Amino acid sequence: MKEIILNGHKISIETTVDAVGLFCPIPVVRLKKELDKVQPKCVVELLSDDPGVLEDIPAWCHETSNKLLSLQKNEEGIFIAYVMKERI
Amino acid sequence: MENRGLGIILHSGSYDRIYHGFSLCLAALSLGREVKILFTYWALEYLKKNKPKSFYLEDLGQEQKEVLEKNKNKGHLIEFRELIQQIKALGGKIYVCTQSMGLLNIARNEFIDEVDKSVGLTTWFTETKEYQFILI
Repeated sequence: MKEIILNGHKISIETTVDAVGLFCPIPVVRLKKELDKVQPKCVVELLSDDPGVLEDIPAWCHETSNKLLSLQKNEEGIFIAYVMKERI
Repeated sequence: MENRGLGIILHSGSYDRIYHGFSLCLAALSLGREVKILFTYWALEYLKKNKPKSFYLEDLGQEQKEVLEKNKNKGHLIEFRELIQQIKALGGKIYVCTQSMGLLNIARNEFIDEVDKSVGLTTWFTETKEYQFILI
């Protein structure tokens, strides 16, 4: 299991969803499928190059009561989101 | 907030319209909404067994066919069969219209197994009370 430091806290990443090259709504669909598989409080990492995720991921997390820990773009133009499963 | 069911009626057989219909379906399912898709007329072709659909585009889509084909070959577009399987895995229901089947001489057993049932419009509306509808 991968670990990262986020806002000064060590976070364990349960699994990574690589949705690079895929457009809306597939990144969100794949994120949901992975979150469905993991236990509450687990964190899933999402990689996407679709700019739509900048608004779609926060909106989806809000609507489904999951927690978006971070959403940033790296130097290669890939958006990386960390989402914690809150909803059982 | 109310989370209404969504009924998507697919009529066109144009690749872009079907693909977008599936996208709408998947986005709504991901938000926890119930979704039922009713395939009618030319859209029914996409549910037939052993019949890979050629890349048919209607209207303005013809001018962009090459661009779409390139992106499809690069893997930016997902195959319909996989999208249908994702829809089913998320709880979406796939219906086929008996009127369209009759008019086009299509039998129920010509469709892939993912089709939930063939329905008349009365049944469709009975099963989609309070739903929001989209016709594509």
